[in-house]
Amino acid sequence: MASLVAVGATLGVVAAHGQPTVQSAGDSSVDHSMHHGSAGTDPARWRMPPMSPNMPMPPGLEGMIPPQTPFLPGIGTDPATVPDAVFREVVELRDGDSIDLEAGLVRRTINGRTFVMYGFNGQYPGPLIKAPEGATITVNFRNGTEFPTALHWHGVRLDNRFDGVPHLTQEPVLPGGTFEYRVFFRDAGIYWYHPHHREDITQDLGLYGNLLISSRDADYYSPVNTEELVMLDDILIDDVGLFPYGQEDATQALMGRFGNVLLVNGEPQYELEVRRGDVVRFYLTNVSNTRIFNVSFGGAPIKLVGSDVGLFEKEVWVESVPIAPAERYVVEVLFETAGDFVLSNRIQAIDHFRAEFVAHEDTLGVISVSAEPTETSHRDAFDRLRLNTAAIEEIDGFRRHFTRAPDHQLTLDVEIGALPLPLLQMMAVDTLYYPPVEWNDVMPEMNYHATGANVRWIMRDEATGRENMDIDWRFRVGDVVKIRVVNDPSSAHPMHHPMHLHGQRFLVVERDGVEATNLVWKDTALVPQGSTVDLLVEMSNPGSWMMHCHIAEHLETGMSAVFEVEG
Amino acid sequence: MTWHVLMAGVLVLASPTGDPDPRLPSWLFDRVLPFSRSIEKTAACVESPVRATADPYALPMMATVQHGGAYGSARLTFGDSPFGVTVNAAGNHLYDLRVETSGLPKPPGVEHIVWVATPDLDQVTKLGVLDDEGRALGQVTYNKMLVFVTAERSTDLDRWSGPILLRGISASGLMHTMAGHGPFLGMPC
Repeated sequence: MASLVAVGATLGVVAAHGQPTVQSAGDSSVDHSMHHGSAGTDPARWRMPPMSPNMPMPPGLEGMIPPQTPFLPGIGTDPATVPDAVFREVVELRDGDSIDLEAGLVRRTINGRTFVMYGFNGQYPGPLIKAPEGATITVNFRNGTEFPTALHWHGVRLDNRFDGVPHLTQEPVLPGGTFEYRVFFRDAGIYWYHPHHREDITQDLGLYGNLLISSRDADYYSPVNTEELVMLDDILIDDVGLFPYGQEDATQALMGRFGNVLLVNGEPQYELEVRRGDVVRFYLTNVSNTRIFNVSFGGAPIKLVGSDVGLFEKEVWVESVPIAPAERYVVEVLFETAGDFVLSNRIQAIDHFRAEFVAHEDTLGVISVSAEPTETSHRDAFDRLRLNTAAIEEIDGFRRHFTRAPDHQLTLDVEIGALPLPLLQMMAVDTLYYPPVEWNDVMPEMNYHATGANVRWIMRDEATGRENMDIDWRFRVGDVVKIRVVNDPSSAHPMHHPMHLHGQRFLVVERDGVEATNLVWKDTALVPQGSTVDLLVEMSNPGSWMMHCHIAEHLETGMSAVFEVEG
Repeated sequence: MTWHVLMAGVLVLASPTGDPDPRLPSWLFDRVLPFSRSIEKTAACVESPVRATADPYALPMMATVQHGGAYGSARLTFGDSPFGVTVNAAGNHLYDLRVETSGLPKPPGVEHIVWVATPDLDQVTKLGVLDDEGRALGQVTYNKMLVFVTAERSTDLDRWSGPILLRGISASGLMHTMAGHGPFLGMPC
């Protein structure tokens, strides 16, 4: 029960601030919506978040609200004046081309209900930008949101000046302001762009788009009949409307903000029609704040081909694709027979109240396979698992580093302050067990009290004891650096963390002492709770770069650091 | 009451110290734990009680009987996977389970078999036979699991029939319903 002691000790230190507010009885602005009925119609007011009707409300939490001002975009704006969002367009750019990109309010309809959200160029997701490897494009960005912001080009090894981190690589783009990004695509693969300030709000509300960078090698991928880009997301909606966000700080800071409506490319129901025998290449990107998806295709065979920054050394068959926030995977799927194939998210959820695992399946969409045979069969190519010799040979140059001692060790931890007492009691009971990854949030009424005012997520450099932005790591271009990431299971609230390094690429060479057998270049790696993961980073790109957890609420509550790479 | 239910009772109620639990009838120990009559209580048994552990992947194993020097531990690691976490299509984690034991009695003709089971014993898997170093390695997919070592006359078994010598439970198995506890005191389960 070391965790309980730590929680209690921390409580005494910080109880003077950040105490959640107790709502007076009869105030209709607080409501345990979808659990104890609903009251009030103003969506930008705190009420209890949607939760499972099987989960009882802990006594003492009823009526409590976070210490933040509730926020939703476009408050005071007549929704009728906000343009309807349209489905994303595909923009094919060549070296030297440019694109205008504006972040602003859009009106979205989800499951028949209309909400004011954000979009790039009035689209959901943002425009899909296709460009060739080696190209540089110019993005003329305008910020039409209420927040200062900057655009981050996730996974792209570009010039540091355009990495899009406010106060680090650029000054924030103020509301109404502009910035010109020059984005150089050094590597083929699937990437994405999103804001890097309050992405717990702005990304969650629709500010994300894909970048598909084609290889110079015409044989980079096997032939397929069609390609699909799939952005996985979720959003939190209750009877009243969009559930508010914390204006001053992120809420849901413990688990991150889980949505209760799952979205594929911004829609609650994905649909695709193919022919019998078609092979489809799916580029999967998880853009959710915190949810890990476990994606399968209704039993259709799945071949894993690539991930964040390139191809796996060897293609392999997989049953499903577990994908953490900000990760990307490239898979090819054969639809051999006519019929409907369900795109599913299948997990083992935990009911903490009853201490049970519960098999759970979300239908993300349907792939309808017609009886009409494919126009061109790629079955032979699909059946063959390729060895990607170019990837293997490139990685060969790094193998001598795989088994050496780590250069740095990061420990992942959390400090918890003045949370409501019932919540702390629940957490103490909860310390009996934490799963490797949190697939679901079964205690949202607890989670939403955790904010930047009372939770601080930590990356600690074990050599110096420095934490988060006090970490001072300096490297030179050409360095190959081994970073051991230890996700401390004895922290007050252990949880998985998808760790992202900006501007560089790395290999996950070891997990829990077991050497990886099939490598791929990554920019984001999942570290399950209690696990130790060794990242071998190729410092290939000069500048000041961030590393952080890509759970948006963890980033917003401290879990980030900067490292310098000198050219 | 079925044999399996009785065995579950032993797994749950056998004391961490190795002393027969007074709630269990003595005939049960006569049948299930034949080695108990000649086994000394050891410090190892006392010092390795199951408790809420900070390590979610460790399964400390304890002797079910008073046995000189018997000790065991098991550890879960993720199975080989190209992903950050290893699961099957249903979302069950796929683990490699390594069991290490020492000091188990091994009379001639006896093999030590490692079993993995769900807590209510509706599913049982033979992980493998302990090697000469007292180790075994296998794969498991259970969310909650019991791990135990039995002494058997044959390795060709689908279910154990001999006495249980060591047993442990996964950290997930320590989860307990919150009904009746703390803030949920008085609420129905």
